[in-house]
Amino acid sequence: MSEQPGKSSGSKSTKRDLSDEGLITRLLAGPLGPIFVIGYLAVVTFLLYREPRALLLRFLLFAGLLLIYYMPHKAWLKLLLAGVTVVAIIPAVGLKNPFLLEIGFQVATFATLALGLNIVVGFAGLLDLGYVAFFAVGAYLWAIFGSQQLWQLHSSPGTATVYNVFPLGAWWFWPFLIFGITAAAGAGMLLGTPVLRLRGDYLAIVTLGFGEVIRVLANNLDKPINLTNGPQGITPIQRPPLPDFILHGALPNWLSQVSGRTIGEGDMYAFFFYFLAVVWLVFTIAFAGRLENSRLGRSWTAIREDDVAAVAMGVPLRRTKLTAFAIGAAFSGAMGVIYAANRTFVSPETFSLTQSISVLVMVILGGLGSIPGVVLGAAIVTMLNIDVLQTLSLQLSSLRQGTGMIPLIGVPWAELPTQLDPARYQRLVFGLLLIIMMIFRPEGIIPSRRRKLELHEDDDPLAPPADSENVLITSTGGD
Amino acid sequence: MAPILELHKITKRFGGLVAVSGVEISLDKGRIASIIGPNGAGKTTIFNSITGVYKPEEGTVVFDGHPITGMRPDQITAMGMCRTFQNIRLFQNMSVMENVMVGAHTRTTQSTGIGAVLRTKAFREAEEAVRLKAKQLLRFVDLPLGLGDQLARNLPYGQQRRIEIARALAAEPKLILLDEPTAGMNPQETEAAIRLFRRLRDEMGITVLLIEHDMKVVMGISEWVSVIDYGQKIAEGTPAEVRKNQRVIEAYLGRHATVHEG
Ligand SMILES: Nc1ncnc2c1ncn2[C@@H]1O[C@H](COP(=O)(O)OP(=O)(O)OP(=O)(O)O)[C@@H](O)[C@H]1O
Ligand SMILES: [Mg+2]
Repeated sequence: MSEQPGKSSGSKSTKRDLSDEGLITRLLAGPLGPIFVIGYLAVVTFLLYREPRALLLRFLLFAGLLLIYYMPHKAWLKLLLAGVTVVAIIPAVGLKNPFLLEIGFQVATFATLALGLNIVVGFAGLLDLGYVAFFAVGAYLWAIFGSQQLWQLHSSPGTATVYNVFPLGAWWFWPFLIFGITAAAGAGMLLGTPVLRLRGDYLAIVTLGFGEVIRVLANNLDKPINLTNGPQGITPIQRPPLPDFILHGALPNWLSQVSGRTIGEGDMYAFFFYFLAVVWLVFTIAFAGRLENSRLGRSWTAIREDDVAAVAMGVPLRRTKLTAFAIGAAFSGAMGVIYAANRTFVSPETFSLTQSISVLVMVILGGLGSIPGVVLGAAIVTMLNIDVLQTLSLQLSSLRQGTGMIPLIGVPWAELPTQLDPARYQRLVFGLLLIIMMIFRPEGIIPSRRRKLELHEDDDPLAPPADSENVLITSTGGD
Repeated sequence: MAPILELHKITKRFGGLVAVSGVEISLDKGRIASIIGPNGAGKTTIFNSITGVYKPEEGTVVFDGHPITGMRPDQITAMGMCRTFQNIRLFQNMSVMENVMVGAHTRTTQSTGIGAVLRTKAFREAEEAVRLKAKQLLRFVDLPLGLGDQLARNLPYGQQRRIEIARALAAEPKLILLDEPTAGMNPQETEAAIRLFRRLRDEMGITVLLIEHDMKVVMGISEWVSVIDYGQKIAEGTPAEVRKNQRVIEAYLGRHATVHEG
């Protein structure tokens, strides 16, 4: 067999890059690109300011971030534009319509979870179906210590007298961010240790069980001591204290004047949580990205590719898998603490199996192993979940109250059965989305470089050595 | 010279099958030696018992003066032994450079992820050193320049074999085990491979243990040959002694019609 240099296959794959998302990239290329993007953002912002409740405009604003991602320009320019969008535009529009901040908060929350799961599933190749358990660990940690639950350990749910004082001051929120990270990482190790020897389907089933165990514990630990308050959940949970000048002074007054809407304490907290979640998300992105290109990241990929070879090259399997579980879990642990404080309420329902699957869908939809892809996947799924489908349902129900007729079939809107509410079809929509993706773009929307080459090799006639099979036969059959 | 590797009465069973039975091998430092034997004789199982992939039921393996039986493969690699596989086991969806860099795992010092996240000076220097080393090793195994960023799976078979050797070399082994490294190569490639094995010993001072089917390779470069049949060592000696040995001829003729000789 002759050894031909594989250069040609390299140029093939770059060509595919260009024809693929290359279309957008080429449109954005050159000096006109940034001007176009800035103009786009300005127009969307302006329209959104006039019409703060328009679903399409909200969507276009987030799509602007995607445009920025696809700009073929220097990193600092893209970071600057993305920064302006996240730090200035979204909060500015959020003054008019606080729902935008809620979307931003939830997208950041779930993007962080998806990034953590991506370390376990995408980088290290360990399928984890109980990931949301780590989120629950963080959330319940702050829920138990940051509420009055500690006073009620010996009374059954709903019967205790309500006190005015909390066992721990609200400022404990900050140390509990660290405790949340630690506790979740510990839970990650706890899960990791017994499943180290398992692979594939078996691993998936055990992790699924672990997720359920955590949820069932949350559900049932109201006796013999009432730690979690059972299915009723824990409330109120303290939010971290904010200085008075942010909550009451000149700042909210000024913001009220600018926006023409009364900006109260709740709004200021919405801003606070939005920024906190975004900061944690940015931190997570940087953390995951840098780990990916390090010795540890390479070890994860090596284990995913071939664990026998990896261990033969000196990669310790146990420790490497455990760090994947622990680090993956740690991100969502801190997010759990933030989430509990933001909602001021947690209950077992939030941490169901479907939630775990939802996070997995974000990872797969966006692109297994691809950091920008996973963030995008989280944004799409979350917005579908809390915004698009809900808004459609709302609009339908307002139509139902009117006297209009459904076009084409001539039935009054009022007679449309409520079973047809889009919000009820969440799972169906995700299912369809996944099926469509698996057929047309199994590597995800923004695939990682590896995945892409892996799944599309038949497009590339030069990719595998044509005679590799023959070689295998001779190597085992000859003597 | 002192032996770098000693197998004492190694026995490995798979259920009822005794794949390796009481094998004794002693390998001197600085040698190029071979293990030969018909298909299914137990050669790969011996490699797996040495490198910690399998734990032999009986016997001990002594490497460089330390008993290593029962140690994990990664610990054994850290002690200075590395290997290639009969059916190439590269990390197919990693780049050529990354493959070799993983090989250097036990020789790099970034112990935690913290340095990587902070991109500390120590991290960057370690990373740069590993890159440089990987490049040098790829040059050493004569991989054409500029293939470092290709995915391993996209390269032809012969080059994958070389990359696998480079990856093993990144672990800075004192002893390298090569499982049928020339299988499936044409005569020119085999020639080049033989030159490479010599350079491993002559230029890098690494002891080389081969499993080989190609008699031309075995006779061409080995200084010592152990013959395995049905899990047992039936002969050993210099290539000239072994090829005259009656039991060896029978072992090969007994099951196969031809003996390939160079
Ligand atoms: N993991 C395993 N489980 C069960 N049996 C095994 C296993 N590995 C090897 N064997 C058996 O042990 C015997 C020796 O196999 P081994 O792979 O060591 O032979 P080999 O000498 O390397 O042969 P070849 O020249 O074909 O590579 C064979 O009969 C094989 O079927
Ligand atoms: Mg073999």
